[in-house]
Amino acid sequence: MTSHLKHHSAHPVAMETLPTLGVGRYFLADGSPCTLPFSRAEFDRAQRAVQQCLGTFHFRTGDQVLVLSLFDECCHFGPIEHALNPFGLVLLSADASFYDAGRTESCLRRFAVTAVIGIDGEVLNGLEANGHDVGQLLGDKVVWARPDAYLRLVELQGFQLRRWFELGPAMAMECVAAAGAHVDRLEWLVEDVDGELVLTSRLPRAVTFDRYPTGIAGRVEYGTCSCGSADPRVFLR
Amino acid sequence: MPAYSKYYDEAIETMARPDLERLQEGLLLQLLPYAYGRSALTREVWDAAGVKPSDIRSLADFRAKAPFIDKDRIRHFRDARNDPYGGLKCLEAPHLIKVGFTSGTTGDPTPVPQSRPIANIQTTRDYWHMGVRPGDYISVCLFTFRGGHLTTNYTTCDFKPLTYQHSPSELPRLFADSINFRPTAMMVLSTPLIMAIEDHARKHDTDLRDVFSSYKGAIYGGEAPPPRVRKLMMEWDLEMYEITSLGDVIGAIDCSAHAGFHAWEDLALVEVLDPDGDEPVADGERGELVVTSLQDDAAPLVRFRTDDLVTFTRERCLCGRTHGRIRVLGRKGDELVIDGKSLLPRDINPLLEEFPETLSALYQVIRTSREMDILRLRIGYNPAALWRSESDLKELLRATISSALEVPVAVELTPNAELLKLGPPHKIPRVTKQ
Repeated sequence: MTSHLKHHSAHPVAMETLPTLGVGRYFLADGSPCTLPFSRAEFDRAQRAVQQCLGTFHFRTGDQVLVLSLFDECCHFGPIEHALNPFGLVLLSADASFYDAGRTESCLRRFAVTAVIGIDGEVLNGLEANGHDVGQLLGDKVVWARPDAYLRLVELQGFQLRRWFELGPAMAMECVAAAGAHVDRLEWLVEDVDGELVLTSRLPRAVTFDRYPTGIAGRVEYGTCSCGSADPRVFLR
Repeated sequence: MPAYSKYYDEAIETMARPDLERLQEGLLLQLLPYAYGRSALTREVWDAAGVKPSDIRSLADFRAKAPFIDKDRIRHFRDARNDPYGGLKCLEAPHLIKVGFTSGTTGDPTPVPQSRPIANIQTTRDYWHMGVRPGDYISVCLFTFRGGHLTTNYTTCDFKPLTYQHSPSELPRLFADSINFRPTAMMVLSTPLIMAIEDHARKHDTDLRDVFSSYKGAIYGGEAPPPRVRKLMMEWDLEMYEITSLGDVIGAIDCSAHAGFHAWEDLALVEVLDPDGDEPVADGERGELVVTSLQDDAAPLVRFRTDDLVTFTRERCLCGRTHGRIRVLGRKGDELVIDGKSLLPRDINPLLEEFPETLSALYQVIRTSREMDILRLRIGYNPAALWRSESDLKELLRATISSALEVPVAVELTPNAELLKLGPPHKIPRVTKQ
């Protein structure tokens, strides 16, 4: 089963759907993008889940956070941006892309950035192509890296490296404990089915999911994280 | 539910000129002590000029006495004081929410601190004018992600954004969503994306009139649209609305009358001054755009010389709105004097569209100084469309441009794909030093 549409046809979802706030996308198990309408309620819930993760770091009001994203990622990164506001964190933005790496470098050089969220391999390629020392640029910041960047940054010293990744329509984000990436337990039931991460939405959304196979290989750890969260934590294989 | 008004904010959009000026004066007189008290650069510039906010009691006082700032002054402050905000920031967190940026095409991006989204006011009025109404979908594929996700910017009016990267790879999804969601507006198209749409449609035998049939307008930006881009959009039955920046204060979009960019004068005080002096020019005459933010409490620009050469009119527009309109002629800093003749890069666009190989009108002016003996151009071409020798094309371009502009010309040819690597996805730097 590779498409959630096929999956839905096999398992009709009776759950009520909510009015659309906007439309982003997620990646199907085969890697192709699929349009994803989202509602205000799920957007707000995702924001709250990110706030809980950010809260484990004790950032201070006025700290600057650089978010690296692209416009099609609004249902994942929109809530992240909004989660900064209650802490009084200031948002800086740049493309998660090779060609806009100069903006990332400029932000890191000119601003006292405390955290970077969403850095990926393309940005690292762009920084390196322009002769920048990535380790020096990232300094002692908290850095949430996507999987392709995480693997490259894990060898470097100095900054606090954490994982962030898309999990189909959901997202996973590591807290200060760095003991697996949290998935919002109130929003999603996440299971490891034969080594594949499978999602079921637990509350009304614009689009609901029922045992949706993400195509992502991983395992799930349940129980309390040392940060104090009861969210399940996922580990990519 | 009552029928929607023709205007989103009729009281403001159609305000009579005397009322509009009273409104501007009120906003300005509130702004000046605020900016002077909080912005280190504004205070430095005004102190150096020997002017205090209390010296300004009217718009006329402001026009007569207020000193100017420009991008160089901001950059100098930024570098000298190690202040990324260039001395403009008036707020601290938590009131300061985010920092947007200019495109950074020609250097370090300029930060644009924000507390509340002023741009929403402008875009909502303009979308509304295009025919977008609550509940409608809008396709959003902005050039670069430099102002954050704007998801909730649209929701005050229940406009629902469909979001994409500004990339050819997104076209299958854009086309499918356009059929499924029936969006009524698109923000924003560029020449490279339009080239990609044309190419994709040709390869996949897509009927673009069908794909775009629900759109009441599509906003085009990045540069002045080449004639061929206009023609293509007309063929697709997609009404083009152009967007430009009003000196980094807000954007400005043209209207259904397509008679200039509407500058929302309750958000920005517009002046057009002699490019070589400080005196105002008459409406319709060429001058430098100078703007003052009227409702920005995060980092207001006060009498900012934009370097943009424009004409401006205060005549009521055919669309019924009363705010002034600008026409953009080019950047003062891009002006070239070749063999004694003044030229702007946009003078070159239409000349390239005469040839199938250079239809995309991708080019760079190699500008080593303002005054030069010869116009040096790097021109992109489509190798697949080349039906004569490269040297013949080069000579033909040289002769055509030289004859049309009446200046000596030197041409260097480069494949389009190579030129496109020089910039972000929506444009290339039109002026380069090498």
